[in-house]
Amino acid sequence: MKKTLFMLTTCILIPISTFSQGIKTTFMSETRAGYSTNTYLNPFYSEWNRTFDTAYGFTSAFGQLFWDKSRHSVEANAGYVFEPFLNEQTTWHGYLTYGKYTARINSKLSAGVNAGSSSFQSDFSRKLSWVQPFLRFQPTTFTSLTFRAGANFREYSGLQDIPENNSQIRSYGIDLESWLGFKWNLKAGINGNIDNLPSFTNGLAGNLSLSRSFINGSRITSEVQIINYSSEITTDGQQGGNGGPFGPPGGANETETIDDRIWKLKLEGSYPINKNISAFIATEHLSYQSPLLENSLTDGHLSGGVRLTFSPEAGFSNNKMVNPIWNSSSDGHKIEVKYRGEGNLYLLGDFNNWERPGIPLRRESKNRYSVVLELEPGLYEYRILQKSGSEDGWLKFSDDVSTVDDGFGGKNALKIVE
Amino acid sequence: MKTTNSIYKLTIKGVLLSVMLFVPAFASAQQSELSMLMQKADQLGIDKSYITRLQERAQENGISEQQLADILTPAVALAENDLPFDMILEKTSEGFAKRVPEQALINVLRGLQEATQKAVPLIDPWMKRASVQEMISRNQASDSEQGFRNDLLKNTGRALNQGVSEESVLSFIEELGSDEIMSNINSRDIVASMRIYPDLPTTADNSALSQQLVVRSLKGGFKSSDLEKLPSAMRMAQARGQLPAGNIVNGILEQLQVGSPAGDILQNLFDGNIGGGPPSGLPGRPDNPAGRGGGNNG
Repeated sequence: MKKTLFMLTTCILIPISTFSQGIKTTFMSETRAGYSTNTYLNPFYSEWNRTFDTAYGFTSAFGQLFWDKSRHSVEANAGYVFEPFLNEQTTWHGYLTYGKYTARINSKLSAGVNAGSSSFQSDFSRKLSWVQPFLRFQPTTFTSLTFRAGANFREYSGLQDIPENNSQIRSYGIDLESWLGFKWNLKAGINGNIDNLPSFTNGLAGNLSLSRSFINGSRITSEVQIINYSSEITTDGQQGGNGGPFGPPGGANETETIDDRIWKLKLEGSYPINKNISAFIATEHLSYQSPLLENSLTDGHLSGGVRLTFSPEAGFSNNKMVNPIWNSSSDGHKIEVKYRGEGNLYLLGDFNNWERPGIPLRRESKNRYSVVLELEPGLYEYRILQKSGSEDGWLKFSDDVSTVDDGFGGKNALKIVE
Repeated sequence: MKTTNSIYKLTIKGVLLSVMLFVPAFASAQQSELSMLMQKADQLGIDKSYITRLQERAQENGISEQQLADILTPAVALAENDLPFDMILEKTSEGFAKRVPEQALINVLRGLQEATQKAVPLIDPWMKRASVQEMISRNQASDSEQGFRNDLLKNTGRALNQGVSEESVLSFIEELGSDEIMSNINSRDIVASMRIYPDLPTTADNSALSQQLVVRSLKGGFKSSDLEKLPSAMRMAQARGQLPAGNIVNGILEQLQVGSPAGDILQNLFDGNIGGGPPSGLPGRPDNPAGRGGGNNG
């Protein structure tokens, strides 16, 4: 597994490093606290255990590298998860790496592959790795349909009284996403096991979620998920367990085909505290229904926390490429630029009649330049000039910056003031 | 031989005399053309100090008076027709700052002048619509009708000059002019919409898609400052093979850096969508002897 992980990471990171000029880095972290009555509902745990219903803490840190050129993009993610429990249960922790390559065939069709692996452990360990090619069709800016199929490898070890367990699942999935305007987001998908075909329903999981976004950035999401299982049970007449900790949820005394079903309902609300941090609260309800059970088993999960996301310019960014950030306040409109090169920076644009050398950007720290402007409502085009001695040159804008054609074969950045 | 020398000397004298007489006259004619143009500009209300500053900058850039006259002509022509000319002057300043070759600058300015004139028969009838007039009167405190017309003509001219067809502009303002849109927006939103329209990556190949995107943005309550992010959000979504609408919402509503997939990635990771495939089996099922639910995440 370690060898596979090393190969995977190497395969992803070496090509990225080769083209490091256009690489974007993003860091993500989540801290949450929650309570669940079944660890099947815990984030990144997903193992059925109803005996340890307890509060838990959760911290994750992920980094992402993204590179794109022309019609190709590559992203690599890696992170660590730490999930301690308030009872005697051993902390669940581990890492996850994930990479994705996408090729845009045309404006409506893209294809690629995602692959990754993870290794988690507490009193037992679980290792997963997967490879999944996909094809995405975007008939409009607002709707996409993704088809995917691939293999998922699992390895359990350290289970009490049970030998090491390796398995491979060949799965397929279809995902639909549609935006109804910019407020409502509908997602629907199915996941199935290729080995169960032609039985379509066996092992089939379906999910449907509806999100409502608000203009202040808040979002409410409701989601329903249903998973079907058909399996043949042959027993020797002994009674089954009660569903936990790792035993069967019911008993049977002869060979028969049973159809089980898990329903999950989830409701989550999130609120952006600022552009980097959002707070969220989520509740989940699970119902496990089986003909082997007189009553369905129900579990619940409640959690809340904060998510942090930021994209530093340092590391792989190109010296000649900048991403100006504007912040408006009662003092005016502040433009801030991170730049690691030599010389001084000047702002030229409609706000100074494009007069050279321009409005000087004050160096606030080693890499940070800024200036506050008083601007009337309107549309402004601008560029940033770098001067070093008698030499000068225009800095390019990163892809994150909205630019417009300047008519001279170049691009100006656009600032709209309300 | 002596006769030949005399003829030669006489010819030289003649040429020198001609040069002395005609060159100043020619230069004077050039100067008067520029002077007349500047006088005309002044009469038409073009800011004299701005023109004087342009003249100084032209001299600094080594631009001849004839070339300066050619540069100023499009602005004066627009002013003569009561059309917005400040865009031409701004573009001239920009061209000087970027040290654009004189002839290239003149071509760009002429293109903008022609495009602005072409925008008039598209915009003026549209502005007479009841829904547009109602919007104008509602926003009169912040923007006059003349100011709105000028800004819209300028930006429509830019769009035409960037290769957007007149039909495409017409259908776009048709969409924008609907009662539903007009009742919820102001003149600045319209101007911003027209400004970003030619720079949306889908406009060249599928202008209807760009129109739909802008119209839905306005219906969704996005303001002009939000529209600023549409071109880059779409470009980034295309580069990543992502759904542009989702990227735009992430960039605007959640105020994340446009194009950052972090929100989606986080959500996907925590929802367990990465890893693919259904759980390996139910608790206690024969294919899952340990009773592991085997969720498909992490």
